[in-house]
Amino acid sequence: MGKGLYIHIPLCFKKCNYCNFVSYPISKVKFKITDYIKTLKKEMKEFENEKIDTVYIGGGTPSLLDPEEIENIVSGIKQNFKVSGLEEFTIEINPFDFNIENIRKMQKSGINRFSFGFQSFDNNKLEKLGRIHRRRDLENIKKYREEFNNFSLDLIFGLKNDIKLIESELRKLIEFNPQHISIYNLKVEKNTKIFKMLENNKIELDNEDAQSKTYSYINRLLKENGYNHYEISNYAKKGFESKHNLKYWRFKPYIGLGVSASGYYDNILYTNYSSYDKYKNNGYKSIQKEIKKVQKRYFRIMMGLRLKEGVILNKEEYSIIRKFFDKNNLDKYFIFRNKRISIKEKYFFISNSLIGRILDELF
Amino acid sequence: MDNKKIRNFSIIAHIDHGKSTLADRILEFTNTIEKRDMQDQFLDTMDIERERGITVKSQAIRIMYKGHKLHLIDTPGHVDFSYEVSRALKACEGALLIIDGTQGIQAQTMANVYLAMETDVKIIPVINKIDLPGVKIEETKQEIYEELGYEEDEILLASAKEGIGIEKILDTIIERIPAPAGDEKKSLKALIFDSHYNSYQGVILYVRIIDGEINKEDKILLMGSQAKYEVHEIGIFEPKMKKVDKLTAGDVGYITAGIKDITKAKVGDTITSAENPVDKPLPGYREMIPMVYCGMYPTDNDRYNELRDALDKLALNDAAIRFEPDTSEALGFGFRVGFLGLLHMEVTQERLEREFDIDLVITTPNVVYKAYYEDGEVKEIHNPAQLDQSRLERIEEPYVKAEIITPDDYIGPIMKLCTDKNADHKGMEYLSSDRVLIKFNIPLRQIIFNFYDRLKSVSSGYASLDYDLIGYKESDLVKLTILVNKKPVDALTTIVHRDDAHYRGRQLARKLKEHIPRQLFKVPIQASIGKRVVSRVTVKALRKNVTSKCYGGDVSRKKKLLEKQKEGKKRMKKVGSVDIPQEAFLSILEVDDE
Ligand SMILES: Nc1nc2c(ncn2[C@@H]2O[C@H](COP(=O)(O)OP(=O)(O)OP(=O)(O)O)[C@@H](O)[C@H]2O)c(=O)[nH]1
Ligand SMILES: C[S@@+](CC[C@H](N)C(=O)[O-])C[C@H]1O[C@@H](n2cnc3c(N)ncnc32)[C@H](O)[C@@H]1O
Ligand code: SF4
Ligand SMILES: [Mg+2]
Repeated sequence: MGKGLYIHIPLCFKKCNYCNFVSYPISKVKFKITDYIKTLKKEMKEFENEKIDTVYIGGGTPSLLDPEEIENIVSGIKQNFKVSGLEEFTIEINPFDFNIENIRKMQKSGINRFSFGFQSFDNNKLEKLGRIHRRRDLENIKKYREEFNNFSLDLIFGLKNDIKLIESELRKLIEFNPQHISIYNLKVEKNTKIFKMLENNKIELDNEDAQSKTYSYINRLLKENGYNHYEISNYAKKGFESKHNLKYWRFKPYIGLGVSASGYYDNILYTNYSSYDKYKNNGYKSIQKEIKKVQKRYFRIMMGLRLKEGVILNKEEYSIIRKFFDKNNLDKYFIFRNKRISIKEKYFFISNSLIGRILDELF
Repeated sequence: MDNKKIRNFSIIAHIDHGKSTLADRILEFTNTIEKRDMQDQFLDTMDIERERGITVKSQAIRIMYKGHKLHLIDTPGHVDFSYEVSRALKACEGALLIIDGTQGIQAQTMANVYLAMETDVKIIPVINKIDLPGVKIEETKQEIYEELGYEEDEILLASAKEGIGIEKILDTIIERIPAPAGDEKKSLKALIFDSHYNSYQGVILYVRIIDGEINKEDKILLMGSQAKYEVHEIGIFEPKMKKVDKLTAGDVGYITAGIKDITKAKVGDTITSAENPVDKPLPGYREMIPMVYCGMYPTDNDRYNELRDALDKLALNDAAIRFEPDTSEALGFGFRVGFLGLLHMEVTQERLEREFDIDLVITTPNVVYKAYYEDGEVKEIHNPAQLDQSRLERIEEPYVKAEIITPDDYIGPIMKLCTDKNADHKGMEYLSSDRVLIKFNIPLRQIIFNFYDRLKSVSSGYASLDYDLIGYKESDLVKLTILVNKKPVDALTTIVHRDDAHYRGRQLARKLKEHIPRQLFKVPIQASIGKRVVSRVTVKALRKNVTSKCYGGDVSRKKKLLEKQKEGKKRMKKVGSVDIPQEAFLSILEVDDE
């Protein structure tokens, strides 16, 4: 099986209020995008001739790039990697710079999966989130929906009254009939605008119980509409589960390129520099760590438990966990099937606590 | 040196009147400390002291001035540490009494003057902070005259901050404070006024030599414990320990003698020569009676022995601590530890955590009750959980005599506070035209919880408080039990007045609810008196974690998040199957009065 390839484009038109991913507003970036692409291609050489079967161009906002620039990246990929078995090629699109002509060109380059950062259908909420697109941008995209074979969209929930809003959000979402959906629970990170807004009472969040109810509602409605809730935040029509992201969750090797990207390659876990200068001049990587057998198990279990399919335990792990569960009455949160353990969907929303208990017991 | 050329003095005052700052100026003026080594409140060497800006421990230092050897001891001002003052005074012939000229005489000014009188030291009153615009020099002089009996011309003026009046103070010390009376020809007699433990040298004894002299390799006898040692090292405080060849009558310094058994070297004991002992030891120190007790448990149960060692060593340096082993169903093995007050408790907790690196769970502090049981048994209750309400005949609680000094504008609100707290008013007198001394008796329990903070807030910070134990009195007290997840948690048990029981039970349950994080299952919290549940709240089951957004491939980040979660859990105590954070055990301190 081939590896996954992630490419990070650290540009955005404007920083969203909640976002702490590494990306710079275009008005402030000091480097030229052509230079960035050049460096990306150089970095590809580090992994030359690897077999790749999924590609994900994310960010940031890759849709800010011209079709030519994207083509330039794609040809770099084709030159440096073995891509004959390529199955899934995703790019993230910000609805604000949706342009059907560009999309068609990308499709010609081989991109076959498009992930849209919708976040919400409600203008008021989009405003609070600091998004630059609006409802009408989304309506415009709907016109071209038939041109996509694998259409994915992202939503966010957690703001005050999202519990009331969610029904109409989901109704509008269903109208798009996407093959794949990611719905993220808003995470308030330090050093984001939304953190300050909360501090200054400019916005509010729904409380824990309301958010949990919202989440259950989403799960129920999407199931009714034929979606498989295959990961805590991800839903897909049968066969459209993200092959690339599954590599992260199953902890299979993937290569990450570009500033701040991470990869897991040859038993090395690495993360690139976040500063472009350092990334370009100091050999890309800021952290590299060899992953020993035990750690590999740690990550496998940590990530695997996010999936509905769960993770397979080895004999020793199984017997430790069996005893631990008996002693602490934890059976009600989990499903044991043969050697496989998974968290019940009902308890996905407290998965960190549950995963934490398992990891603490095992490692 | 001729001991006529020695002067031993303490600096005493109400809290924050400027003792440590004045000590700074004296050290600078006499070039005891090099300018580049100088920092504010130089003698406050502990981290806690520097952070809080208060002195906790007395600190001695030797100063050379105009051919004289001066031993200065800086003391704390807070009421909890008054034993430090009385110990320091025992090693001195004189004291600088500092009075903040913007505040006038305060409660601990009086308390410290009484201590000084008891030990018969010569007092030099100094009005400090004369640089401040609000200073009231004439009024303060008048107060000092009326309350303490010092004539105008005996009172010195200073600004410790600006370094005004320092030379005059030093000259006055030499002039007015008598040289130590001891005789270096006599047999050795020395007072241990403090000590600390060092893993290389064992116990380091801080001593004041009364008579005779002490040399290296001398054989000494500690009269209290009858233990004999050979002196290893002798030195003085500059303020770092500096070796010298000998100490003679009148000197203040330290000695080491390879003392590893810390029970053998008690503060207050008398050192004499093993070969030629004196007949009678020095009077020593009054045993301190702890005012409050609380439970102290290592967060990590395996560290019980370490905690015991740490307490042993700390008690060596802080003779006011008392402790006894204690077990709690909820918290495992630990200690019941007695303190002079809540600040003393906090400081001790912090020192244990910092100096000995032991994480602690502290339980609700309580005073010592006396339980009279039907079968005639009388028991001192250090731990409320041990009170057996079912066979109780009556219970008594400690009362204190308290004194508040305040500008008369605040008499109204202060009297109301005292009434709220069941105080028994005993009189009031004017100290000057607008400042009064209010006297009352009050259950110690009432002083411990929130009294000081409320006093400060109703008097805009102007009122000061001093108190002293007077005895025990019967009271209608009941045991309030807290059940978490239907199990009584002994460490949360308190004793309260029957009239307050409902209110306190309800408030405490609510506070606990705020502190106890949601668990995988729902957790009822109940407060009960006997079998009767007076309040019930529920911590709902956990419904949500900080979930993750799209992580890309950054699995290390996710790992960090989980590790943080684990760290957080480590700081909690598992009681039954419920994780309870440390702060929860002190919830009662946050319960306000009605
Ligand atoms: N303006 C002015 N401030 C002073 C003077 N002396 C001390 N202070 C300030 O008063 C505060 C308390 O001073 P300290 O020297 O720590 O007081 P203390 O008496 O040692 O306090 P405790 O040890 O806690 O009892 C500090 O902020 C000092 O800077 C003075 O002469 N003038
Ligand atoms: C890294 S972003 C990149 C996608 C693209 N730049 C966009 O926003 O349209 C991927 C998705 O993560 C989600 N996301 C980003 N920050 C988040 C946060 N703080 N809390 C929850 N979800 C977040 C958003 O739904 C976003 O679409
Ligand atoms: S959410 Fe997407 S568009 Fe918004 S700042 Fe982050 S990366 Fe850029
Ligand atoms: Mg001080």
